[in-house]
Parts: sequence; structure tokens; C-alpha cells
Amino acid sequence: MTAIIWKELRENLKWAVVWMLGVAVAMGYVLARQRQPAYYWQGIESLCSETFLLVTTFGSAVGGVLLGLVQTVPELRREQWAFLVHRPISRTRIFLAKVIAGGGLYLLAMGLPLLSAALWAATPGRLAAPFDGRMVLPGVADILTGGVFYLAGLLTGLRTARWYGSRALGIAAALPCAFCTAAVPEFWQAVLIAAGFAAVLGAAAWGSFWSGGEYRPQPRVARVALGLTLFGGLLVVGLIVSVFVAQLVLEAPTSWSSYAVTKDGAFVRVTYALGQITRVTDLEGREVDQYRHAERGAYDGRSLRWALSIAGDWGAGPNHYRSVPRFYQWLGCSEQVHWYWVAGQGRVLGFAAQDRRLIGSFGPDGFVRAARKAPQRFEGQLIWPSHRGIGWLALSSGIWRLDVVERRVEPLFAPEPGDQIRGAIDGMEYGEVETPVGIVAATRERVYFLSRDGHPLASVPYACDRTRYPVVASSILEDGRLVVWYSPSYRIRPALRKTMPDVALLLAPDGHQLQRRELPPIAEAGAASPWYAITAAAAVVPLAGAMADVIGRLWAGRAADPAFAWDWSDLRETWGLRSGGAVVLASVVLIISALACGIATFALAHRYAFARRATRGWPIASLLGGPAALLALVALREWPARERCARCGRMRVVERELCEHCGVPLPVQVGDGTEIFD
Amino acid sequence: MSENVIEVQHLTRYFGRKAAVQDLSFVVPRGCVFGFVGRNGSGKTTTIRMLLGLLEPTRGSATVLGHDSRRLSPEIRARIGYLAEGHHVYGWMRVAECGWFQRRFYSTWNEDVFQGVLRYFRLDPKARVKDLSKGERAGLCLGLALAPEPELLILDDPAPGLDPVARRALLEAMIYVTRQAERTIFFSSHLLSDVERVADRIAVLDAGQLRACCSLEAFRSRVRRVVLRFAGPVPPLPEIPGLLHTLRSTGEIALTIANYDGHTESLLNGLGAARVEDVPLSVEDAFLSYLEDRGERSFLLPGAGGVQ
Amino acid sequence: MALDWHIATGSDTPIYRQIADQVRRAVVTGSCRPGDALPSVRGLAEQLVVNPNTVVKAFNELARDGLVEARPGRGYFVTDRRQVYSKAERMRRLDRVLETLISEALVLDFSPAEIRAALDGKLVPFETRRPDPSG
Repeated sequence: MTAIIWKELRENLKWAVVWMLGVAVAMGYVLARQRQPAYYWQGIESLCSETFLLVTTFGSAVGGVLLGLVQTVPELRREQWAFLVHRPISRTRIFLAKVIAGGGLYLLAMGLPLLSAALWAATPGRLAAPFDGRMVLPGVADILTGGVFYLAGLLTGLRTARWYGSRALGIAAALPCAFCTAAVPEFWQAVLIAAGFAAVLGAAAWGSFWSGGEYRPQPRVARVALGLTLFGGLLVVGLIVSVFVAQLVLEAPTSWSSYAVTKDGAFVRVTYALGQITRVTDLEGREVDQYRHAERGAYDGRSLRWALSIAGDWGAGPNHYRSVPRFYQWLGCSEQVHWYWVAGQGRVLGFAAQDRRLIGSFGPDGFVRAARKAPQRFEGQLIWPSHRGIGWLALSSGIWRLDVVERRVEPLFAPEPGDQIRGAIDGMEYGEVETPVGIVAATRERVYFLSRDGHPLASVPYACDRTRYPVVASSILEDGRLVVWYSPSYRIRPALRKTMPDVALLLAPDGHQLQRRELPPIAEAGAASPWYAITAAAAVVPLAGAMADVIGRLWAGRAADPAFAWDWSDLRETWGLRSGGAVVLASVVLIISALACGIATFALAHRYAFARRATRGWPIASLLGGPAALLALVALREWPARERCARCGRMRVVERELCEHCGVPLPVQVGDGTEIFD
Repeated sequence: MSENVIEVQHLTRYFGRKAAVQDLSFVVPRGCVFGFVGRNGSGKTTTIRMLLGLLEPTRGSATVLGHDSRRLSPEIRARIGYLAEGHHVYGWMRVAECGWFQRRFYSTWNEDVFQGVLRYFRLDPKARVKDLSKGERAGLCLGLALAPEPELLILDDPAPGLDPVARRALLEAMIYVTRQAERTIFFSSHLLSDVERVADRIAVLDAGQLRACCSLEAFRSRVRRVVLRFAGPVPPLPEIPGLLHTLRSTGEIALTIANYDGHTESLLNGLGAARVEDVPLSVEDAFLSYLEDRGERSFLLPGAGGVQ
Repeated sequence: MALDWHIATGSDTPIYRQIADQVRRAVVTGSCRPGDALPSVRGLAEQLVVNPNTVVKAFNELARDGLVEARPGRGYFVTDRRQVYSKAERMRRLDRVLETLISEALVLDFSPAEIRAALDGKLVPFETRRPDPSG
């Protein structure tokens, strides 16, 4: 077996080296761009940056597929494959040898550059940003996903399929792996997903190698894996096609509305289309003329005050193994120093932009230079910053003023004991120029309007139930009056949410309530997707359509508050099946599609004389899986020729020794007298 | 030791609607040099691939060295040597590396044999395979196939494209293999002279069907050409069993007949010909008449009276 | 036995008969004497590049004709010529050979007298032979 590994390595080393150089150059380019101070507005994301992960994702997926093809396509010539396979070693071991060699080359091509990049970024003085060892995990996850694509590439090269399209279905089936590993929050979950996909694709590739590309001789496990792969690939293709069709067919909502307050303190509703204001009405629906201009359809929105969101549904911000905020958060750059909140240390770290080294860090005790130890941590988590500049630092335990020039830190504001800050923004004054005049902070219990020094100018209790109305926003009028807006959570069942009004409070500058208005909920004009989208989905995979209810219930989960428990009517809402007629139509299409596929499969099974268990099993699979399952069946098996039986006159499959209709064995060929046998 | 090295029963293979190999049944006894003859596309390569388990039969079975061809274990494969048309080896390897690579797999590898073949073909161990000529590559593949001293050597049309010296070397290697009585050779070839030289038994494949399976001598003796000379015009012929060919010219008719026996002889004698002459056929001619399209040919120009 | 062995494929004569004919010719012309050993089956097969069974078949035919004999373990040896065929059989064979000779010579436009003269010329070296007493 080692001889085969050696041979595979020698044959393909040059491709792996070329690939490695390409990846290294791409990574080097991406990291080099991060060294230069051109990214003031984004901060430096090092190995978790989108462009870097783009290199790892595409580099490993595309490279993996190509490596798999390179290892298998030369053996499409049967004699070449025969030379490899006809030797005293089992084909499974030959396949393993190929995969081991391929895996080694793959790790060389992708792993070496990633390792080098990680070591480079971890060395102080390379990037003006902190480094956490776990930042290499997204790249590792991409490499694992690329391994799945490698197996798909092997399968594509090995499978002798009649139409070229069905060969590439393995790659289509690997695509969901890439999406899932990027979507799950934790690295170990990504590893499990990649391992699952690798098991299925690996078994399919092994089976195709073992049998020389045909379907019938493969072991049962491999056949099942191949069937799943083709089914999955067809689903992905079907999904892409239906999304494409939906884009063409769907009408995107072109206009949307929101609430605002005029500088006089009146609440209005503003409608936009194509980035411009098209209507301004009061709460009863009457046009507010003063905002209409002579120019056709142009409104002047400058005197309106918008609701600036303070806190909402989200918690402390994205905490995903691939996202930079899990490790550090860029706060801003001032005087050639980048400042970062590092969650692991609970401190604010500063890196000089010129020599890219750590200058020092801020803690509650003040600024500490880099060389010295700094044990003190800020309590609490960082509030997702939605302010400009690095003037202050908002944590769940309190707000601090951060003077990065003077290297001073002092507490500005702390909530009541037992309370936590949920959000904090700059309070904006609107004059000729928008200038921040203070800070608006929302805690669990209250909403505070603070001056620049942290004095509470006004504070009001949270006026609504925090669980149902977590979204809170504020506006500051020119005359000092304040507005606090409350909106219901987006996670509430749509059927209920439709009926819940927004709440707006108009307050005097010192905080006492002047007015409380309930703003009628805005009905979204465009549905999430019209009914024909779900109908199409029912036609593609009846199984999913029929199990939508189950899926919906699982999705809703068990929420303590029944307002958050989604059910079937809510899913219908999101899918746009608004009327009973649409539901009936979707159901009918679903049933027809399932039955048609089931019947077609049954007919095929009879015509080609499937084995007894297959004749029962495949139609059921088609019933559930719909056209995707039917097409997978067609692509999967070889379809034998049929000839007329001499005895009963009906068409019989040539694979069987006996005619399946009359049981007569194949008639022996009658010669013409010129045969010579002894 | 079993009697038959290869046993084939009703072996069939379809590609799409067409049957490349149909209902083959034959046996190859141990120690035999078995020649597999047929035109291009008659199914020889397909049959050999099925015997080696490289292709799955549509129907039927084949047993090689006592084991089902679909399930040849590594131990059995060690005893079968295979030389395919095209002589595929990895182009980037050097000759010595090829030997090293192959040797790793076979416990019965005889390095003297391999070196002997290399010397015979004057192969430089350091040469890269892709720089070798076709004949040299054939020699290398021959060495790789012979060195493990296989019990059964299967050759799929190894000769085309080789120069005469290489071809002769190939034949000599085959004769060399017959030194040991338990070693069997199964080869397919177009070169009928080679088949005539080395084969004990032959099988003839025509469009996927087995037309003959017998010893070479039996084949030769049973395909005969008889020339009938008539004084007057040639009379219409009755149904002659085993008739392969008819060649008419003025006053005479030449019949090529398979399975010539006493019955046929008396039938021909009863046609009233002036002379009945038994023309000797070479093996090559016998093969050709056997494999060519059946029917009648004539030297007379069309339209010149009395020719069907 | 220093014979110049050669065979031709594609000829009307089977290979084994070509080999046998060469041995016969050698015996007749005297290059092979009784007691001389024929080459080993394997050796001759490898030299001529033919199947050993063909060589065996040739030697067996010669043995059947009484030209050579097989000594177990030692090979094939030329024997004193014994006639194994009856006179009638020998006459039949001679007849056949003469038929071929005469028809071919006549086709070449030779007269019977010319043929006879040429035949006599060819037979001069063999005048020393005596007719077989077993006759």
C-alpha cells in the first residue's frame, strides 16, 4: 500500500505545489492589505476577515475538487485503471492509499499556508491587532469542508455516468456542507457536519472506485451513500433553480414605511420608495402638507426626527466561531493607534499603527503599559457599539469615559444595583450639523438620558413589558423634548405581531411624560414570498412540504411566553399562503407531485424487473422525495436493455437468467452449421 | 490442481442495447496456450475484462483459477498476469522504479526474469517510460507481467504496433512460459501467424458470439476448400451444411466449407462435376474464410448472364 | 544434429508437417544417420518459436512412420529405417506424390520425355539404394 501512496504523491505533487503557491500568494495579499492603515472604518480582522476566509473557503473547495479530479480522471482510460487495480491488494486498500496521498497533498497545499499565516499573525509586530489562537479555527473548518469537496471530486471522476450532469451532483451535494459549517455557531459543530458529509461522500466514492464506476456491483453501503448523494445534489440544484425562478417572478416590495416625529412633536408615518420619501401622513392617514415640496414627489425629511435604535432583540452581539467579535472588537483608531475591546481579557488594548505593537491597555484602574502585567478586568460584556468615536465605552455593567489621548479612564454612569445596561447610543442634537449632546442608555428597568459627563438629565421607567417589547429607540427634539419608542420583538408570532401596536412616549426635557401614543402596526405590503413559491417547493420535494408542520413546530421551540411559540399558521404567514384557497392549492400540488413520482417509479420498477425489495422501497422513496428522488433513481442505476422473449413474446430484461414473465431460460443460440466445437 | 484454469458459462455483456458478448461458454484447460481470435469489435477485450473482474457481466459467470471472476481475491490476482493492449505504465516513472513499484506487491517476484527481459530489450533502468519507444514499453510491460511467474498469463492483443523483433520476443516469451506445464496462457490476437505458431487451442469470436472452440488442428482440418469444375454451366447448388463461401467463375465454383465430413463429400460428388479438387488451406486462410462475411462472390461482371 | 530448421506460417502445410518433412529430407539425403539424436522438444520449440506440442506432434508422426523412435528420458533418435506400411499403402502414397509431380510438370509445358530425363538426373545420387526386401 505504501507503494501506491508513493506513486500518488509523486504523480500529483506538482499540482499540489502549484495550488499551495496560489493559496499562499492570495493569503499573503489579503494579510498584506491588513497591515496598511487603509482600513480605518473596519478595523483589522486578521484571520477571521471575510476576504481571508474567502480565500480559505474557495481555495479549499475548488482545489479539493480539482485534486479529486486529477487523481481519478487519468484512470478513465480502462487500461490505466486495470493496471492499477489488477494486483494482489484489495481495491479498498488502493482507494485508501489514494485518499491518504490526496489528503496529504491537500494538507500541504492548504494547511501549510494557513499555519504560516497563523504563525505570522501571532507574532507581535505583524498586525496591529490582538491575536487569539482560536482565530485559526474558521480556516481549519474551511479546510475540513474542502476535504468534503475533495471526496466529491473523487466521486465525480470515478462515476461512469451517462449524462455528464449527474457526475457533478456530488459537488452539488457538498455545497450544503460549506453553508452549514459557516452557519453553525461553534467549531465542533462544524467538525461534526463536515465529518457527516465526508462519511457519505467518502462511502460513495469508495464504492465507485471499487466497482470501476458502475452501480450494480457496489456494496450496499456504497449504493445507499451514492443514492443519498445524488438525491442531495438534486435537491440543491432544485433549490438553486427555484430561488432563481422566484427572483424572476417575485415582486420585491418597493415601498416601506416607518414612524417618525416632527420637530413640533407630532407623530407621523413616512413611506419610502427607492430611497426617497414618497408620503408623509399623520396617524389618521391624512397627508401632512407642510412636508410636500413643489417638486414632484420630493419630500424634505430633514426636519423629521427618526427613532434611533438603542437596544433590540439581540443580545451581546454575534458570538460565532467565525466572527471577529468573539475575540476582539475594534473600537476605533485615534492618533495612529487602533483600540480594541478584548473580551477574553476584559480590557481595551491599543496597537500602534506604525510598528503594529501593543502599546498598553485600559482597565477600570486606568492605562497600563504593555510590558507590565494588568490583572484588572472590566466587568460585564461590551455593548454593541453604535456610536462614533472612542469617547466612551459602554459595557453591560456601566458606561466609562475613555480618553485615549490622555490615557485616562473614568466611570461615567452605572445602572442601579441588579440592573444591566442593554444598549447605549449617542444622543444627537440636530442643528445645522448633527452633534452628540449626550448619551441615551437603556437598561432592563429604565431608559436614561445622560449628559456628556454622565449626569442623568432625565430617566423614565421602561414603559412596556420588556420581553414582548425589547426594541427601544429614542429621539431628541430641538427644544429638548424627548421621545422614547417601543416596538414588539421580531421573534413574536407573526399572527400576533400583526396586532401589536408600537408605543411612543413624548417626554418633557426633565423626563415627565407629556403624551403616550399607540401607533398602529404597519402591515407589510409585500409578503415574504407569494403562494406560488411554496407551491413550487411542494412540487420539488413533497416530503418537505408534507412535513412543514412538524418542522414548524420544532422551529418554534418551547418558549415560556406563548407569544413566541410559532405554529403552522405563522409559517403560512411567512410563506405567503394567506388564503385558504392557497393552502388547498399547495396541498393539491403536493399530493399530485408525490403521487406522480411514486407511480412513475413503480412503473419503472416493473418495467425493468427490480428486485422485490427494491420494487417496494423505491416508490415509497419517490412518494416522499418527489421529483428529486425520481431523478436520483434515474441517474443512479444502469438501465438494462430489454429483448423479446422467444416463448411468451413480451419484453424481458437481459440481466436475468430466466424470463421474468414466463420463467423460461434464455434460449441457447442456434447455430447455422458452421460452428466448430470439439 | 484443477483441470480447467478458466471456465466460462453463458457470459453475456450488454452495452446499452447492444450485446458486445453474448452467451459465451468455453473452458481453458491447464497448461494450454489458448488463442482468442476475432475481428475488431467482436468482444475479445470485453471478455478478457470480465474474466479479470474489471467489468461486471450482464449475465452468466466466469471462473478463473477456481474462483468467481467477480470476486477475485488478492491472492488469486497474484497468480494472474495481465498484459493489455497499449502497454500502460506510468510515464513519469523510470524503468527501475517500475520494477521496484511492481515488486512491492508480489511475493513470488523473480528479479532474474525481470532483469533478463530488460536486458533482452536493451532497456536502460534510468530511462523514463515516456521516452521509451512502443516496442521498449511493450518489453517493460512484458517483464512486469512475467516476473511474478504467474500461473495464468492473460494477454489482450499485445502485438499491434510492435516492430517484428519485439513481436518475436513476445512470442519467445510465451514459449518460455510453456516450459512449466502448469502455466497457462490465454491471449487474444489479430495476428493469425502468431496464433498458428503458438496456440494449442483456439476460440473464434464473431460479433460477440462464439463460433468455434477447438484445437488448432481440428479447426484446420474441418475447414476445407473444394473446387468443382464443370464441363458446362454451373448448376444451382443444393443446401450444403456448413457452407461459408462460394466463389464462382466461368465453369467452376469454389466452396469453402466448415465441418467437412463424409456426408458433405458425398453430396459434392453427387453434383456431377468434372473434377472435385480439395485445395489445401493454410490456417490463416481458414481463419479468414471463417471470419469474413458469409455469402457469394463472383468474378463475373454484373449483368453478364445467369448470376444470382 | 546440425540442421537448418525453418518453418513458414501461412503456408498450406501445417507447421508440424513442415518439421516432419525437414527431418525426412535430412534422413533421405543422409545428413541424419540412424542413431543421431533429434533436438529436444523444448529446445526446438524455442528455436523455431512454435508451440512445443506442435514439435511433439511432428516427432510422433515420424515415430509412427518408423523414422524415429522415442527413448524414454533420452529423447527422440533416428532409427534404421523400418517400413511400417504395407506395400499397397506405400504404392498409394507414391501414387499421390507422382500425380502431383506429373500434373505440375505438364502444366509447365514439359513433355513426358523431358520429365523422365529430369527425374533420372535427380535420382542418380540415390542409385546405391536397394529396393526393400520386405516389399
